[in-house]
Amino acid sequence: MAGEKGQKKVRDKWKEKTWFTVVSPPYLGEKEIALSPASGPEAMVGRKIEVPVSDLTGNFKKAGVKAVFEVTSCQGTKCATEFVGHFVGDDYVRRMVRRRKERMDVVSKSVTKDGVVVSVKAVIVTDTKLTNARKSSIRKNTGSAISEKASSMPMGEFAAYLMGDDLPNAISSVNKDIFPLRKIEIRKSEVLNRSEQHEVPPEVTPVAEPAQ
Amino acid sequence: MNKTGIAHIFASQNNTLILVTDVTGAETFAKASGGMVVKNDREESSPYAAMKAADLISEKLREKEITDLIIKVRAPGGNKSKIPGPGAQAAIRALSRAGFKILRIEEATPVPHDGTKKKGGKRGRRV
Repeated sequence: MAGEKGQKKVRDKWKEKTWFTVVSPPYLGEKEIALSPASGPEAMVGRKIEVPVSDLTGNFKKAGVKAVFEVTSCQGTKCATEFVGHFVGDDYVRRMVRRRKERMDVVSKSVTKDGVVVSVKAVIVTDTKLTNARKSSIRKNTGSAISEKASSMPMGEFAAYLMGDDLPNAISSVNKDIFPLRKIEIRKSEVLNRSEQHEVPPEVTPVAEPAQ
Repeated sequence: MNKTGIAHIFASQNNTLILVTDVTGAETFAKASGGMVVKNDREESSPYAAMKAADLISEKLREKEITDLIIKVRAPGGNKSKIPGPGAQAAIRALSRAGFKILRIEEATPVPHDGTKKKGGKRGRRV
């Protein structure tokens, strides 16, 4: 029935698409990361790209670490991106931890100088099992060291700092009086609010204790 | 800069699926499966079917002028097999023989941090 009334012409959607060049943010070198086809610039906004950090910095030790960028706007065929997080491969983290070693996970919600909230997830491994007191003080020191560093620099600078070797060194130095840390890795980071919002989250007021 | 695609290869014991997208994963360049190139169901996962499927893919990619590929191989994962099926290796080899520059090969099998029990009962599957 449908076939009798003139056949529908199939549009070749591929021919309507153009290639857009995706560029890394200015604080990470403004390098061309990838080419991506889209029907228009509005289709490009919101796309996410994973890039090995070794491609951005040239440091091959960081081949297992990937930075994630999200396209924010396009001018012509050039698309600007923003850093939205990074992650280290699961297999690498799994290899770090062995029997009779201690693994400590620290998740710290930090606010940068320009008001961006970043969740930073670190893994610390020591050679022997630790007492609970030592573990909790290492976690506390690490969390405060990350927050302190975040509050002293804007988001762009902090993004590069997160993926480098400086933050693990800083964590190691604040904990050296408690116990020597064998391996420190920033396993994952996530940007929780975007730069256009730039708001410092309201402080949580503690709930009043019920009167006895 | 070269036009790059990501080849997602899903290889199970029953079939091999190949899907090539752009680097963002938003646009599909080509897709093929073992079942598209063989008649018997039991041959869908064979290396031969994977090779033929990869040939189909490479033809479509050449039309779209894709030169580089990032390969992501995955097995069923979860509480099922974490070892890719027999088609994975054949598909990768066929893609590299077709002249694409393989930038890197990644393992993308989903591994549960904890999850549900594997099917088959307490004493496992008894064949």
